[in-house]
Amino acid sequence: MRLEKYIALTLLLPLVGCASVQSIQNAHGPASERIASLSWLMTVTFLAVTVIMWVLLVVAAKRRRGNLAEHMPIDLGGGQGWIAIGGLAIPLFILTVLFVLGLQLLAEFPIHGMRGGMHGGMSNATLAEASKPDIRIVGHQWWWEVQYLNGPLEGQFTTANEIHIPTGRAINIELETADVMHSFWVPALHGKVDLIPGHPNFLRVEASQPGNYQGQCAEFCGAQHAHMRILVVADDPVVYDAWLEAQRKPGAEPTTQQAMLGQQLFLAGPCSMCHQIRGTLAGGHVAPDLTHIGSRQYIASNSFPNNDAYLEAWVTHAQSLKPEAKMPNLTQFNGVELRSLVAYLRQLQ
Amino acid sequence: MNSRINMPNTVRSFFPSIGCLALMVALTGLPAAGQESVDPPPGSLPGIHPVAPLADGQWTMPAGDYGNLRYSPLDKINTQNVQNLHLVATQETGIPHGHEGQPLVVNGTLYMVTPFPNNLIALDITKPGLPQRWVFSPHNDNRAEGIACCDTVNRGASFAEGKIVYNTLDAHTYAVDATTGKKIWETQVGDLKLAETETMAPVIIRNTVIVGISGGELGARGRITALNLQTGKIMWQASTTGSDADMRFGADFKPFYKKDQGQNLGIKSWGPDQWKLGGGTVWGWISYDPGLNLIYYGSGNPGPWNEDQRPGDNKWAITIFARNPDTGMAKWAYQVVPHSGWDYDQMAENVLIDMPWAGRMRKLLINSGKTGYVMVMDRETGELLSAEPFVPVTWSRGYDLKTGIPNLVENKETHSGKNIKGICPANVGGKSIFPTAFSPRTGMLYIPATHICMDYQGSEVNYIAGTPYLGADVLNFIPKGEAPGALIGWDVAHARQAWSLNSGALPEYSGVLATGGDIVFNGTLDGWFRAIDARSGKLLWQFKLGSGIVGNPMTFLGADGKQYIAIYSGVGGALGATAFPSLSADAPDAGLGAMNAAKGIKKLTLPGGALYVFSL
Amino acid sequence: MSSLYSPRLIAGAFSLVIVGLGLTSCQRPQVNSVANEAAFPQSTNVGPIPGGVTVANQTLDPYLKDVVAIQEGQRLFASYNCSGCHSVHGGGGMGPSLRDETWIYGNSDAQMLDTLIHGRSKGMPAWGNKIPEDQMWKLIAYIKSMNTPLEPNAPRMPAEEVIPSGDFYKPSAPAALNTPPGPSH
Repeated sequence: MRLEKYIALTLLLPLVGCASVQSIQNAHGPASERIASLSWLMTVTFLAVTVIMWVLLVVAAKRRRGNLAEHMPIDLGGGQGWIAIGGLAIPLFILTVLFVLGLQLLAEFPIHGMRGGMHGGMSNATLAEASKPDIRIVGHQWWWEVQYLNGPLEGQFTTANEIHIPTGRAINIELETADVMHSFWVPALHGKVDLIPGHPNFLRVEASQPGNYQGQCAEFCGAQHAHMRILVVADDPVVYDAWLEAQRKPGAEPTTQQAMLGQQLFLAGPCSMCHQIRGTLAGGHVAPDLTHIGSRQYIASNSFPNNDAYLEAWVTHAQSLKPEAKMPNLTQFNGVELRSLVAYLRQLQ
Repeated sequence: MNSRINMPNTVRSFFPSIGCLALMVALTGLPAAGQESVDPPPGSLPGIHPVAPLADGQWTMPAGDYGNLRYSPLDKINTQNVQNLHLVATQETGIPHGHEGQPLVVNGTLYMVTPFPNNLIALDITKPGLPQRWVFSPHNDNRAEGIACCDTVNRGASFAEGKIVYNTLDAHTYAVDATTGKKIWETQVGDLKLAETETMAPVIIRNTVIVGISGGELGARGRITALNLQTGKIMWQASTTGSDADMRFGADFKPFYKKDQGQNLGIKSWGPDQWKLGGGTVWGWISYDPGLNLIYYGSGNPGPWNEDQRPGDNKWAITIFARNPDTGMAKWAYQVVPHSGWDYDQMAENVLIDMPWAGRMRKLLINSGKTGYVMVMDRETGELLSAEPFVPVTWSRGYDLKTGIPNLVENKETHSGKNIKGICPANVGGKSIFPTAFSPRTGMLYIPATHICMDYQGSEVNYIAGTPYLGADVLNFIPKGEAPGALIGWDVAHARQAWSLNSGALPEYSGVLATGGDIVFNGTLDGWFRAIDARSGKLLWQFKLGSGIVGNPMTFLGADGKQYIAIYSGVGGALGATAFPSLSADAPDAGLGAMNAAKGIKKLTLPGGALYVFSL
Repeated sequence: MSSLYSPRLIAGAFSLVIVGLGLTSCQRPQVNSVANEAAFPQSTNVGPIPGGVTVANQTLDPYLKDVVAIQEGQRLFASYNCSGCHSVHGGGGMGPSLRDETWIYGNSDAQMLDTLIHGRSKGMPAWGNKIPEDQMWKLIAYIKSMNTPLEPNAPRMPAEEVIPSGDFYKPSAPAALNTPPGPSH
């Protein structure tokens, strides 16, 4: 039967998406697992509905029509039970069940800070403490500022684009934006949450296994929306703590002659106008913090690998790699200077 | 009498009449506050004792006396004859910038420090017309002009042992021979590359010169520095942020309140490394209590202004310190406003006085600053005894005297990207840098108060060394129905206002002098120099000077035995700079938001710079 | 008499349309490739005229009428702390007003670029090493737009503000500090 072949092909279509890592079906955390099972439930239910509807349609189509005389006498009120049950009651039941399940899921993983859906009977203070953000993510055109707020004040630091979390523990994230609307979404870990100007949103993220989880700004935010990528790195708690400790340190002092020249160029040149390297006089706040840029896997909001070639290209021709990004083309460096500058950045581990 | 005050001989000889005054004073039945106190000047209220000799004839230090009373017992000019006051001499400086501070008068010579380039001018007060003795011109790096936040002002000099000591804008301290006008030594106390400048007046205690640092709007890190009076060598430095060692907090350091106790709070109350650019500069007045051997001074606002960029209490910005001037070690510290998103620098003078408080003699420290509160503290321990607002205040609702913490108003806390409206006082302060005067005869503190409020919006700011580190769009305004400013007679013992005299069309922006003739002298931003009845607040006499007044009046006894009053004219300073042609009236936020609070100033006064001397 | 539909007329009309299309793309002048790509101008010849003579790669600002570039210039004005000294709308503060008619070091595009690159002795830093020339032209375009209809987000005189009296902290009664035999009036 040709029809059945088409149905089978259509059913295969959504599965194509599962090959990519950026998929809700590729769940690696409690929130995404719940979202995945809900979405499976929805898929199966709707598939079943679709199949039944197709079967009914086919049956109706195949049935011999006959003429008016054969169908006499006409019952004008006939078939209303079908409409009431099949057209109203069953859809209402299915949609209500899914709606309630959806609400339940939202309540379990709330996007508002104070209304913790997890525990009842908490005092306001404990609730505020429980929903105190561990990480604040600020969306910029077109990169992510990441502030680590746990621990003592002097251990709180800011980094960018690469978000580290420990496995097996729920992390509270506060989401803000410095300019337009963005949306934070790592499908393998959680549901989509918007970053809205003047209105902080909250998110609870937990990863069950270590690994790299990729995501994407999910709200169109301008020319380089597509290059506003997210990387969440889930580490074993021990590895994570070591990472935290390393990130809290000021930027590494250059040791080689080349890196020393690079640092001088960084401080005396245009870089220090916008970027910060803690421990030096470079104190820019409008661009990603570069204190530990050498430890990151990617540059330009996870758009390009972090290696010498891409860093050099980024310094001199950012406008070709990511047109309209705030990073200007900096063409005044000669080859030696450029290599020194990149050497300095690479050793900021 | 004041034998325990180890004053240099030259200085002591300038107070010949103190012994006579002591005899004239009727002793009161109150227990003495301690032998350290100086006998009260004639006509003092019962129980009031200054802590150090008052400026009786000469004027050897910025406030006239260590206790910062700015009170002179001279009474030849009094409420009866002040109407006859007339101009006897003027001296132009030729520099059309803010003439803050006050002249010194020592040994028949009047010394004035001009704004940048900070010339030191010596005038002979024994001859009519005050002829010039000499002018000393320091080498002053003109890059300093561009990184001085609030006009290129200077707040005066100090005299001791034949030397005039003062600071130049490029962060050098000079000692100049008071007789010849030749440089004795010069010490660099700050680094222009880190945006450190000097505007404050040094204070000399025995052999130690104490200087602060300016530049809190540009990411400079505050500190005070002690120099050797003879050589200019740096003896010690005490920071206002950083480790306890940097702060010179030792075993002796005992803050009164729990909130100020702990180890290395100068690091722990900041995000990582933020304390290094944390402001808390020292650009105000320094007081000294010879009895307790402690200096008192305050630190400025934490930087940057955008408070979202520096979470935490930001110690020790906006703090009153008590330190030993010989070692620099701190005795106590009290953070007046933790964190602060309003630029409430604590640079106001700390007026030191022994007087009855709540039934017993106390060693008091009275401070009326930008926050809008008159704070009365016990200067031995750092306990806050009272905090009452002297101007309309919206940022807080009083202080909890048990914890020393202000009761903040939540919706007046500033944030990045949010325009918070109606914060009073404004960044200019309920009272700016212009010092109060305290009269032992009336028990009143005379406060030059502004009624400016502000809208304040934080914004993300880059630290770029040598440029401002602010991160706030500020708009000052005078709330509808309020006068721009007023001189307030504040009854200290009852912690309430006794009288108030409006400053006219522009905010109050000049220092105050109180005299034994029961007169308070004060200037207005549009140039009226005024004599006011110290008891009633009635305006007795006024005279219009060439330019707006942002200086502090002082008084001295001439060689002819007459009493003279001297005042600088020359509009400028943070708010007064709105009169300069270099600030546009069509941008209400020009001059850190001040333009909108000084509407019409360009019509009321023009920049200038001169000394005016009055007598009967 | 030539036909109304002569090939030459059609070709002419067609080329007019093409030219017109071309003009629409001229609204944003192309970034001058010299300014964009070349090394920094570093030479200022001190000539016989006091103040030096500027030799920049280009002496005219390509962005003067470009509203997008002017807005970018305003963003840079804040990012690079120009606003810290010259105030948010250029009204002046630590540094002089940029809104008025007074130009201490000249107001030609080239002189303004020279001021930005080399700084001025009374506190204007030298930005030559720090700000790419292309961004300097955007800054100059913004500064020149001040007090003109092109100025983005121009300052407005605020209305008089009233503060509700309930906002003021006024202690109900001045603290009665029972102070016998304190000062009395």
